[in-house]
Amino acid sequence: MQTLRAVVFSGILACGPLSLPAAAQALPPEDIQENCSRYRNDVKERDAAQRWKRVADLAKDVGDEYCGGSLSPDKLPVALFEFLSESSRELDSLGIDEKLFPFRQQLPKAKAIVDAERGIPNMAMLPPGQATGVSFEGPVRVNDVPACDRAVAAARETKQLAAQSCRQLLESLQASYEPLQLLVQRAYTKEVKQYLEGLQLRWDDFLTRSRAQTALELAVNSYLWRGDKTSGMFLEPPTWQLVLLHPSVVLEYVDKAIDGNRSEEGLMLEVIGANWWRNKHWYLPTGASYVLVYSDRAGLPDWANGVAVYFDSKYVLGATRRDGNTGYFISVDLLELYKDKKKTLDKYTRNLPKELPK
Amino acid sequence: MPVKQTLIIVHGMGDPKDFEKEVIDSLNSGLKLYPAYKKKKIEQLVDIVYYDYDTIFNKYRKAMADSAKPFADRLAALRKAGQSPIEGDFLTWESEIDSDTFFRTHWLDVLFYCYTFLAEPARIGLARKIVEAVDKRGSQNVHVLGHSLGTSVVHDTLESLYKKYEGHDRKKNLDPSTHRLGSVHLVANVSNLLESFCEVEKSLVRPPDGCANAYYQYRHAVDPITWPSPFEPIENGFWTSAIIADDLQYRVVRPSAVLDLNTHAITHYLRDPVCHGPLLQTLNLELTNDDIKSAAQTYSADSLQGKAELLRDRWKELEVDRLEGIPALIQAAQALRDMLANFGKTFKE
Repeated sequence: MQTLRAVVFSGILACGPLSLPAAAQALPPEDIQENCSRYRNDVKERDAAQRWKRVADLAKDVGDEYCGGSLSPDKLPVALFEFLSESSRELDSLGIDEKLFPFRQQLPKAKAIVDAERGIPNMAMLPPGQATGVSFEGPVRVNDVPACDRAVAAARETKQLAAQSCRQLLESLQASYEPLQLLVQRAYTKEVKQYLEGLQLRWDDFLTRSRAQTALELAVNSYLWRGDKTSGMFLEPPTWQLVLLHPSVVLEYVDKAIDGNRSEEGLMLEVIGANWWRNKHWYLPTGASYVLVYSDRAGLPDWANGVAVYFDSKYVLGATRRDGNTGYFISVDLLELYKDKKKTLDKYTRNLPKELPK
Repeated sequence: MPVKQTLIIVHGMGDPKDFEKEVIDSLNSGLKLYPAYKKKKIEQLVDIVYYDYDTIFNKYRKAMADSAKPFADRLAALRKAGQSPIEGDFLTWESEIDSDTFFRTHWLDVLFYCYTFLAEPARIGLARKIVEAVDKRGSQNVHVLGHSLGTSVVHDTLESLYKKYEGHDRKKNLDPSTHRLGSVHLVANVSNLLESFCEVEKSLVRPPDGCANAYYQYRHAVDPITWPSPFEPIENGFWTSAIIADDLQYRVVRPSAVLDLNTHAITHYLRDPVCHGPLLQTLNLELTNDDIKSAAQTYSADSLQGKAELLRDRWKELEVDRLEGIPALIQAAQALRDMLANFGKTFKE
């Protein structure tokens, strides 16, 4: 019988320059080492493979070639396809042919995926209690389980395998294939994992640093953000926020107001504005809005027009005009920040000696 | 020894703090019905990974409330003092959004998921859990279960994760052929009702060429939340009659025993052998269909006599099956809550 190395090699030649995408091809040696370490653990976990030693050995050949460096990651799907073809022939030799277990009919589908450089399909056992077979581009059932069991029993007589039943035989095939297919899976999952980690961090950043929104703003901004969201994609967080009828409390100072009325708490309604939350420089504004500010002062109108500028998506500074008088305001957040700093400073100064040593 | 399977579970509306425990307890109570497993715990047999998207919604809800409160308080104080610069309940709703009422804990989750960008980090978080499990175990050994609103989260996440989008490089998607999941279980499936950016009947969340070897949905006969717009696959080029007829690939599990008036609760679904049987089979537990039938008989002996008819008549009277869209979900659950309140019970998913 041909060695698997020869089978693989001839398969690679026959299939032409099949390969995984560039990222999977260019695996650095430490990645190969890590993959192989995981592969060996996977093989250990799947001791069921040893019930069909012939197929387990075929799989081991492929694994050894991969870990030994003589089989490059991009050629692994081709090698695995050859493994499947060879295993299918082994099934035939045990008397479990196409009529009994139409596995070979599935191989062209797998070949198409290998040819399209998309890797190679994974394989799962069909659920126990429901059917005997494997899921491989759809369920492949053993049509006559007692006949298959008999074929396995006959093969046991000739000491070709240790499997006790048809199900155990297929479990062995699946257990031999799975660790190798996982090498193919992981070549991709690693990149998808990294992409999702980065995306989640960007969303966390957005949810932490962007301006808190009202229900109206949340609905409008979500509508604007959603745009052409469609299947197959996760969207990045919004890069900016529309500010619309956003209320908050400010502390407003109007120099021309009468004594005792100059600094007043006011209600601010940001009529419309925008905020670019990603700006990381604290001294540069992240956004601005046109505002109305309400405060109750003797001799001056309650409502004033104004402009607000935000820093760090949170702190607001602004100016208002009412009856030709200019007012200035800061957000309560900014005041809180100042208070916090003052508290820290107070705490620090309390701990200082009452008098400096002479 | 088969490889230990991983089951990722995703909760529905409302406070999910007990969801993981409820799933585990329900499956453990189910295992007791089978002689071969009655001394086993589900945690020994399967890795259960819980995903909670509600923390994202809760955080945002709290941020909204914190931001709105100073203004609402100030406005209230002004009104008390006889001034009223702005008419109406401006921001009162947002400032109280964090309080624990039925609307705010249940319907707000639905509204947040269906209408806001908060759905995206919720989906990305689940996608990460799936990819991590796939990386660890291999996709064929990973199964995903969603309940109620969670079915929509599961469906939409898988569609975003697996569908090949033109113009995207491969680094952003898993391939259904090479990373096909063991199975997807949608309990009280509302993914069709809450359909948004993709058509559920054409999505990749299907067997056998989609993202899962098996697609099982569970719909209790008298769970009103599953009545409006149920997902019924038809032959459409994506689903075929052969797939729909094949129990290994697709199933609508329709339990009918009523052991609790809250027929929508995850516990009520998963304690029933009709539901946990097929689920446990996909998780590689050696249960025959006869084992499950026999367990179902034992289980239904405790059912509340006459309650199924009562519930069915009630939902028919309310015509919940004629409702559509998000209001349908809200009204159906509202009806269930009200009915439970009449019997002195609290609605809990």
